[in-house]
Amino acid sequence: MYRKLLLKNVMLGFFLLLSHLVLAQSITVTGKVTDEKGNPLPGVTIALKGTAKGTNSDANGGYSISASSNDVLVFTTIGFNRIEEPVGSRISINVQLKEDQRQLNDVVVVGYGTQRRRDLTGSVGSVKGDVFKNQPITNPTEALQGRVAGVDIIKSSGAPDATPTIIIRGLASLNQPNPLYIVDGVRVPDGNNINPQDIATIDVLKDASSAAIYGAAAAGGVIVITTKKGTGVGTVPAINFNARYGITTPKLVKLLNKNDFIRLENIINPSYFQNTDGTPKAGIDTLADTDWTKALYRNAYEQNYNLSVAGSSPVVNYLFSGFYNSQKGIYIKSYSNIGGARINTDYKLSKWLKIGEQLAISQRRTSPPVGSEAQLHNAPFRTLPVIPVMDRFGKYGVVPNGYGQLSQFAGSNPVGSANYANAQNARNNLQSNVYADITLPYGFNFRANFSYNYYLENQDYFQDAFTIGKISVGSNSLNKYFIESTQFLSNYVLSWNHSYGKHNINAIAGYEQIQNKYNNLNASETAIGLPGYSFIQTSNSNLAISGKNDANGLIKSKFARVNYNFNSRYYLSGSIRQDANFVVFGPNKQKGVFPAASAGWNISEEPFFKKLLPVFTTFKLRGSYGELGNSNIGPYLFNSSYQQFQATNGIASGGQNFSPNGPFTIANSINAIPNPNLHWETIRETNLGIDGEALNGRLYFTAEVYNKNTVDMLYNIKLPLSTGFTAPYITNIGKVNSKGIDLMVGFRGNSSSAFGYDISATAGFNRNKVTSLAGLATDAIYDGYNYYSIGDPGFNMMPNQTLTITQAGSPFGSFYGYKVLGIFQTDAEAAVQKAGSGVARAGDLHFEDLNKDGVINDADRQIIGNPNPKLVYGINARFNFKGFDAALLFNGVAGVDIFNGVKAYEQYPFSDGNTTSQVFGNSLLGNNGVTDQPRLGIKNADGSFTLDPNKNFTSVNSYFVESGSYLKLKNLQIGYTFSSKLLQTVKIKNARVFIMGNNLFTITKYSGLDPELGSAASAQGYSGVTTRGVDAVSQYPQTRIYSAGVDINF
Amino acid sequence: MSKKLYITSLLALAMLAGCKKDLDTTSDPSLYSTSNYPTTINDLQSTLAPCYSNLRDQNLLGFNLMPKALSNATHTANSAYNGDVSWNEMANTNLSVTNSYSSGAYTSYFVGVKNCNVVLAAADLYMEKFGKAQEKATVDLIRGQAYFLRAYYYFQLECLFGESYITTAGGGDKMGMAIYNGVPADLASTQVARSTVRQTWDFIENDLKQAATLLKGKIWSGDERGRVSEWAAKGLLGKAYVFTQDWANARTTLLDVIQNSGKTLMPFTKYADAFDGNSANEFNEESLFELNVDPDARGNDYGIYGGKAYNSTTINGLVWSAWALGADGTEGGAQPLGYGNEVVHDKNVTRFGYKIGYYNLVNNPAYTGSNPTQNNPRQIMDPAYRAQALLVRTNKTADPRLFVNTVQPWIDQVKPDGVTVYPASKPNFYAGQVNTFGFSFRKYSPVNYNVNDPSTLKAGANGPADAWNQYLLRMADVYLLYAEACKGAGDNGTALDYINRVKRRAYDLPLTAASAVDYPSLSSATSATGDPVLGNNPLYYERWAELFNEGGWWYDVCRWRIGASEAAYFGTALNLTGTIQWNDSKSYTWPIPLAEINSNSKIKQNPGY
Repeated sequence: MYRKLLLKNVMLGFFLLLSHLVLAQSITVTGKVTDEKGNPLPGVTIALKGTAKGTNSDANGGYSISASSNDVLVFTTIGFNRIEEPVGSRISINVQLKEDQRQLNDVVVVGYGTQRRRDLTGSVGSVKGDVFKNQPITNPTEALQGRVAGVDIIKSSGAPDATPTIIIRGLASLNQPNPLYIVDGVRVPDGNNINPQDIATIDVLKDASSAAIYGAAAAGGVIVITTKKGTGVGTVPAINFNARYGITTPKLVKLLNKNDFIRLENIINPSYFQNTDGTPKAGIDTLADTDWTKALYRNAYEQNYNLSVAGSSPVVNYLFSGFYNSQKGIYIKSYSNIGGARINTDYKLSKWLKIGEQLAISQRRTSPPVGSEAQLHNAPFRTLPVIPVMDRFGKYGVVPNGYGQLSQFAGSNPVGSANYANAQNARNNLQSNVYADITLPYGFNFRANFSYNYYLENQDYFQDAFTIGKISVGSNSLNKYFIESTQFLSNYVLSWNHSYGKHNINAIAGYEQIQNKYNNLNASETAIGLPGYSFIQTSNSNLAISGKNDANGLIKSKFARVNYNFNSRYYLSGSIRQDANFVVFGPNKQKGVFPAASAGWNISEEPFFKKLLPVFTTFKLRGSYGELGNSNIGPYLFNSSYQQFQATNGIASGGQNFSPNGPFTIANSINAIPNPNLHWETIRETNLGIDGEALNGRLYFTAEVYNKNTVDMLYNIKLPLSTGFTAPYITNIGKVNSKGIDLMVGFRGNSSSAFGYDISATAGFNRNKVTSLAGLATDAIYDGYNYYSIGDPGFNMMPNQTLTITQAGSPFGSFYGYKVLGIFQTDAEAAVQKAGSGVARAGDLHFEDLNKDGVINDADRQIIGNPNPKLVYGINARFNFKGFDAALLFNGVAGVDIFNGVKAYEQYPFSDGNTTSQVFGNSLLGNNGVTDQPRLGIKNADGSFTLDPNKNFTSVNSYFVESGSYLKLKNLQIGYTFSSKLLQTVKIKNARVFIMGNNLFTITKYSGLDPELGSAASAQGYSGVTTRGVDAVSQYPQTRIYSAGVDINF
Repeated sequence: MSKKLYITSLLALAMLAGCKKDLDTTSDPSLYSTSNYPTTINDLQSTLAPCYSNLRDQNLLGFNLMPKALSNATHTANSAYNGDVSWNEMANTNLSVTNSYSSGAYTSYFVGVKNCNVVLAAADLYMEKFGKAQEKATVDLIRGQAYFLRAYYYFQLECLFGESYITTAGGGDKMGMAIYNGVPADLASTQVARSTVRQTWDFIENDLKQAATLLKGKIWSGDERGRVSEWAAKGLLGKAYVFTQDWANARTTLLDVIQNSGKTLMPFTKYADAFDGNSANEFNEESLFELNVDPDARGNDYGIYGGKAYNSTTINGLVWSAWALGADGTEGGAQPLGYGNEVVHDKNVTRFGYKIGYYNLVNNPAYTGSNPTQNNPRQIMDPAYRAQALLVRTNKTADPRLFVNTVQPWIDQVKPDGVTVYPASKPNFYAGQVNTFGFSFRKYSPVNYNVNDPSTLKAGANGPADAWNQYLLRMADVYLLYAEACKGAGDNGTALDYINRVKRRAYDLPLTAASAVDYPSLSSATSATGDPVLGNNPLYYERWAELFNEGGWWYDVCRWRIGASEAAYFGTALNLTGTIQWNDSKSYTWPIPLAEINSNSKIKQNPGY
């Protein structure tokens, strides 16, 4: 059907071509285009109004075009106001273009088309590539931080290949979707591999009406990336080279040193380092004094090089670029380097046919932390300062004997463990797209896109055998895997632009099909012959191989949209999309329909408004409603299948034999209860907005209010343990509401003055609430642990106690535990409380006895904090004066709580490990009285010490909940651009040098390392919405970066 | 020309992309679909395998249940390691509703129930769609094993989590377990209330009867030795009758096992070497049901954990491994043959009748003066004490089972690398503490190799791994259960006879001939001199001594309700501060885990939690 349509259109195109061969009588007009200062402007498009004919200005701003006397020349170029000049009798027309101050004239890329910002009726935030070009980022998502109202970007890890979290307009789902990335008109699996320096603009489709054209994949918002193109017909190719180098420093916790550690042990375990009479044991002075944090972390660097060549001719425009970014990690042995290249070309083969392609490749090579130390901690609390990194024989240090149960220390020597494991990971990406754009008669246009994405990841991980203290790996092993995934996308869009009188119509209809294939192999072999990344089998080797090849992935979509406006004053728009997803949704519910509608009113065009408020050059009201789908769950979850049995400990129980060393029978069992009705969840959103400009465009603002409702939320129902199914039952239950206000306001200086500035602020207020969780037993989800090692809920400071609750009537992942009313000042005062084992004493936390039963237990837990920020904001300021420029980017959040899980480890010794000097501030420790920190425990009559009978540190309570509001100077950049004259001699157009600081300072009351937190591990398997704002020990520490760089144009 | 080429190639691309046909149903190509599996008997056997392999789950016999939960709860072991709250709670017999080990046991026992229900459904589907009539006998054997294992799992669940045992005082109407007689097909059928204790035991007994019928006459041999038999089913059925004080049925059933199973008590010589991994002694004449364990993690770095290979091992021995004297000849430098977190609680040593007290170290007269080693220590056990200690063994003044169950410092020998002989040692955390015995475990513990390196036992084995099978039902247990049933029914003579048979074997005497070590009556003094409960109760003492460290004592403590006196006897534990906090109104049952309470609207918690 679509194939036929295409053929028909191609034929039509030929007729169109023939019909235009009749030529009009013409003269040649020449002239020069300059800017306001008289500098020549190359690359300006000069078109004959109402025709497709045109040319571009050359390097000196000159142009030449054939026209007839009743033609009108239209001069346009990005960043300048459009000028129209009737030819009349003139043969020479010189024009001076004024810089365009009006943001509303920008072209915004929307789904399957473009619109001028002034014509938008939905909510779209835009960021230009120039502003983040030199930030130390390798990921376009990070570029949006602080720049778009309502877009919350969280960068909580300093890992060299860390990707930030992005939440647009608050949480909407337990399976909070990532945004959909559209690059140059085609959907790509993610945006992580695009060189930020190749990006011309990023448009964020925030509301449902703008995103609904992307249907079931758009619930997380849509990020539309447009890459750069060659410009400037007739000029020499523009060559840009830039480079930067930065020092990365980690933000770390400092553990107790040897003396302080022994001082603490002498209180809580007096027999370890002291004899019964209190004298120190022999040999203490020979013990090591290791700073394990220092042993594991270091300063590192980030460097980036980028070269691009761009140019244009009447037929072809092109951009070639290449980049290389190298980051050494702050954790020993870790690094991540990425290099890539891009070719963008467009060929204008005829007046009616344009074809082109975008081709981008990249490869990232990473040395990830692996082995038993793969999980990083911002401080390795389970270490002892008295263990040397290396002993005097050059072997990895172990715990000294003779110090009581301390000598039973069962933790690792993390440096040793890390050094016995090596890995290399490579991720290769190809993103390609070819298109044909055919202009048809009667305002029709047909465009076909064919896109192929290829991803190949492989990893080699060698674990050497070792024994250090109580930790040992008996034999070496090698694991190698590859993952190959491909996406083949094709879409066909027929559009129609038509105006009659003051009525303007733009309509599109299209079909899109996405085929995904996945192929992987994961192989392990133990006891390999030689250390390294090659399999060499020995007679002791065991093999394990898994892998799958799944070519079922298929999404088929049909969509249509109509935009109508009357006189650019009144706007109406409607769209609809149907998506069919055959592997994610159950057989009873494979297809979903997603409609949207919106309207706008350019009130500033009304005569009464112009009279009433002439100060506004633009003022627009708009409103929209739309529905979006979220299908952010894995494939085939609607099925129940037989698979190899995994007991709670993994594959080791996946087989059994029935005699000593007898043959094995593979163990297979059913893994789930089927749900044939599983389907997407739907987000319904209304949006009302105002866009305006005043003072000739110097003041600009947008204000929006939205209301989002999620229905049929995808919910992992935790089945009763008694069912024997440990995997959750995934179904559509529950509702969420998220409402808020997005504001953006900016003010900029007059472009004609020497001192230029542009200051803008964005703010997104949001409030989310789960309105219904019609679960079966308790309508609540408990999640999050104060993990030391992720996945081990029993071995941490608050063993087996969940940190958050998600329930109807509360925000996602609210902190849930005992509410602390204060610290008991006297034993008498404390005697009322029974929590943990025994009666409370002075220095213990006073918990609220919610049910007044005299005992503090699970029934007394309540909501003690909200991890979802009420406000996310950013401030951007850019200044320039002569050659100097400066840019500041602040981002911040307000009205948010953090569960400072690390604080428990900082004020209380973890298991057989260490803590920090904060412990000495605890109540009644040593010579302390009651302080603002609770007591550690109680000294018994026999000299022994009982730790934390009141569960001050070992229960989930509001002592650990702190305000997480902060304002951070995310990026400060100061540059100087050398004048052209000086550099002309060496053929350099201009050169800019800059220095930069990233993450320079944070204003906050938060007592932890950094309040910019993502989500902690979810034991329930959610994507993070139930564990936001948990400051956990297990995270890659954050970093500061100080850089310098140059940016040269040839 | 080039234009044509472009257009042609674009058209070709469009054709290639085509318009793919809708897919009606899809399924993961890497998994078997429930509608089309199992298609062969071997497939069906594959669905049965997880009913067994689940026993080796970390939460069950694989790691946590024995060394971390039950050995602490019964104070068989004393834990030097106190870094795990749930572990400490077990020793304190005062659990929280989030205790990892009680929650884990609950979870994994129910996974076992589910696995068995899957087999029963799969067997029906197989016979309906694919099976041939002549395969019915084989399928019935599979069904029989599934019924047995479902009963086994429910048996453990009921004992640990049921609100009460059934006694003459009642208890049958209290809360038992949620019963799943099939795989739940939809969400609504996952909300199941607790049946009564009586209903739960009825369900268990019924499954065992079905298992016995289906397995009737089948004798497993060769590579199938580890499968469940008719006699295992009848033995467990008899145990269920004893645990519910149904003395009449218990006597008939257990006597049937004793007389007709062909099983008996193994001789002492074998018995002394039947718990530490000698595979020649596995699946022996005493064993009714036994979990096969191989000393090979087959490449998994951490035994039962990991993602590398399925195996057939457990890693309990890591925790309660034996100790070898330090290579420097000192107790301070003692090395465990695993982690060495636990040793035998000293109170057990005296309970076995070991009365010669603690030892001192004295200077070794044979010390060469330099280069101290394990064979040339500077100090040794006082030779006078050593002589006395050896006499205890020769004269059997202490129960000989003490030395079957444990390793005695300086007297016994261990092989940390599978070859080199070291004197056994006190654990290093007892070094210098005179008033400690420091016996470590021999039963279910590595003595002849380091559990971290099983290649010393089996070439090519790697990853930490236990070497010994675990007896889940053996004839000594059946004898004592039969004795208990006879006593309950008033037949004290038979009761005494079977208690004495078990005791005679422990003293290496003929089973049926009267001997000097016989108990004259059911209230005679036992080796546990001065022990207020076990000291004059041969039945209690024999169950404790004979089945020491096999995981069953907790059930006996609970059904006999002797928890308070046990707590008083042991006093405290290394991983506790203060005395054991036994609570009669709570400690006898483990709590229903919070996760179950949170997900099952119909479940009710046990009293006290």
